[in-house]
Amino acid sequence: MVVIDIVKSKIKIALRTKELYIYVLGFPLIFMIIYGSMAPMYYSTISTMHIGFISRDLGVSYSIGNNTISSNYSALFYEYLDSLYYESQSVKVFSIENISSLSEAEKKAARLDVTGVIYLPDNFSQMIYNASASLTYSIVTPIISQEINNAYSRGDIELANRYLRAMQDLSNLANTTFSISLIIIGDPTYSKAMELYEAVWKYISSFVFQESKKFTDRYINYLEDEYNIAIELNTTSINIEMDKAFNVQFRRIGGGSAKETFLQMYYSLLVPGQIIQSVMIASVSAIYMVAYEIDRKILQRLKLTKVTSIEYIGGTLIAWGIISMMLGVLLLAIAIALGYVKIAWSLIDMGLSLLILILAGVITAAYSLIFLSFTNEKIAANFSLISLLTLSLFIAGYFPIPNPVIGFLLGRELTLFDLVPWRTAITCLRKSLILVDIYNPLDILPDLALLAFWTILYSGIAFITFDKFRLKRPY
Amino acid sequence: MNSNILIGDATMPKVVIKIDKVSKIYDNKVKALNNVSLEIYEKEIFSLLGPNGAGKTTLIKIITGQLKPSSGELWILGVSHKEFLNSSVRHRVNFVPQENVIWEKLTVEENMMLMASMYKIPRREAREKVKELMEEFELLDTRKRLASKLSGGMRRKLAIAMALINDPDILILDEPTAGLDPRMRAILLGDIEKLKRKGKTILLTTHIVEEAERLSDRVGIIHRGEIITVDDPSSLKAKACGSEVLDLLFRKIDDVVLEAVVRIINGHDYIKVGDKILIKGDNLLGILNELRKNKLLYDSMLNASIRKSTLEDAFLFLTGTMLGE
Repeated sequence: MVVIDIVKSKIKIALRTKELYIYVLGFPLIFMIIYGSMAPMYYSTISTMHIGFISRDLGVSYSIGNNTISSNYSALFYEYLDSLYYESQSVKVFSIENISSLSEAEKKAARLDVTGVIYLPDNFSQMIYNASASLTYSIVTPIISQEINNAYSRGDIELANRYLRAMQDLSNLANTTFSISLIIIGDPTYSKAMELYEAVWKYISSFVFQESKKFTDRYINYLEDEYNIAIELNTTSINIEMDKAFNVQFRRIGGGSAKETFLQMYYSLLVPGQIIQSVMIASVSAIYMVAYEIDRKILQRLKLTKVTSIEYIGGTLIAWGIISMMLGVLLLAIAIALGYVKIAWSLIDMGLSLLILILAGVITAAYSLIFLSFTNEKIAANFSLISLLTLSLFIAGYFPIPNPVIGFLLGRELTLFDLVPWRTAITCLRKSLILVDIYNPLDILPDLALLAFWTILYSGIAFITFDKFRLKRPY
Repeated sequence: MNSNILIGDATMPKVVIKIDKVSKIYDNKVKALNNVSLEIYEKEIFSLLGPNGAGKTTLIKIITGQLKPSSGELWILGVSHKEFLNSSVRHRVNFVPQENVIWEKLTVEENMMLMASMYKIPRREAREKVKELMEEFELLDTRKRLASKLSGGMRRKLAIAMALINDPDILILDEPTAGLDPRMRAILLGDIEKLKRKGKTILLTTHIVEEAERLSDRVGIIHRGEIITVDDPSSLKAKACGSEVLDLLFRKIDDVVLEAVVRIINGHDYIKVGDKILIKGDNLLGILNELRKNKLLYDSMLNASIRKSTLEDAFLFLTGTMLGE
């Protein structure tokens, strides 16, 4: 069958073309560098982050003297976050949505309904109390020691004894370890989620010091009243090893919080985007091959043969679909080998992923052929390449560009970015490769239907235009 | 068979391509062809001889359906040019443009098999045909080699072999030996002669006289978009410049020298090209002796020779310009 022979030949030609390997291996590397260098730029944007908040905190009870105090530090942390404004601006840092379950949190984060979700564990208040007690002990102990020495040196034994008893009381706070940990749930490829991750590091430490200060003041007041002493707080520097004291974990959606490095988490969801981007770039090579055939009068010659336009264009598009699938598998294998990505190995999800890669390749090749229909091969190749490069930088959601919902498709929200077919391919691939805990194959159907629609539309336009303007007969 | 097909009587060869008053004016108003009429006969090698820009490739593009003529009509195997690309007759015609129509990243065998597939030749039959053609064109040893790794001559052989995969009745070759070294050119000319012996009709364009002279049953001289004359090489030479050409080279040709020559040659046709004067005719030795007797001419003459007329001479006398110009 001539279509199969065309497909086989075009695949052979592609695999024997060195330039293609530059596209395959070179461009992903360039993308990584571009994203890496641009990351600080996206993080600097000031806007309110809509975040989720989920608390499993059981609260904490503790005693100061004869008073028993109950504290719910998670509620205080919520209020603290809710009261934050950007410096010198009237823009709130967060708008917070309470979320009841972990599964809901993961879904909302995956769908970017929220930038990310702050998850507080059941011992959150206990941890804040421990931090407050530990810091209070560290701050007050040297002050009381100094007062004891002063009283002794002045010969005021009675005062020294009162300070000593206060010191013994304070020793109740000794031996408390200081470690705060909480979890951010989000999509690490979404820049705002990473911004939240960085912000929480900053705000949790501020919150802990703020609450510790309150605790210290309260404890000092108690000691002063109980032992009739005066304790004057001075500026004491406390050496805290932040890395050990604070532990903000990032749990990427869909994958559990496996012990991955930040880079592993980051690339895990970045890889589908990079694969589609590589497919986009590599598929532009299709244009060079067809251009070669135009230049060498092969297309003219084919008019005398029995091959039809639909066989030739169909063969070209199918070939590039298969080449894209091969590229995707290769890149995925590299990503897995480097430990960048953990994927679900379910047969149906892998099958869906391969299908998505094929469709993405067909769309890109069709896109290139449409340009080639109207202009010469050099202009078409450059324009396709530049436009796809630009598109590829925007479609993966790395930039804080508004992506409004413009409608619904099969129960799924249709956003502005969904009008760019490669975005749909990335969304599909993420869901089928990475987010299998959240989406089952049926959930992918609306995206797949949209992708299939784009494939048919682009291929149809490519067929009509290429046939009319390139394979045209003069009569 | 289409009613337009032109078949001569039993003694006349069959016309396979008939071109009638075809003109082509490009969008930029350049007139590439002017009222061209031509008939190509079955099983002949017909050469279109003309310099670059004469309109040869334009005419071939019109014959193969790549270009629409501005006016005029033509029929290929009896089918009007308007119907040609939609008719199955197009499968009986093949052409090899100046650019080698090959896929550089495929091997020799893969190229040929792909072209066979384009003609929807059954696989087994295609394999046999490909093997046969590779043997004929001595490509068997290089069958597994990428086309990009072949020499220019071998690539051209491959392009021609690919054009024969569908066993066409008419093969059109545009400048088949362009860019080849003399050895490869000779080999390729031998291959084209073999095709003629197999009964193929071959229309080729060339600006190389020796090629046209060696291969052609008939030659059409094309110049500035017009067919100047058509005939077999011998008749064409005889008609255009007789059997001989007297080739005179002077230090300088001024009016006095020219007047002296014209007076002595006494009505023979001549043409002045730079410092040369060419005189056409038969038995020109007597004229040469007369010229030598003239002291003025003898003193200013650097060289004089009588040689058999060539197609190049014919072209020169017919068009007033040299082929290379």
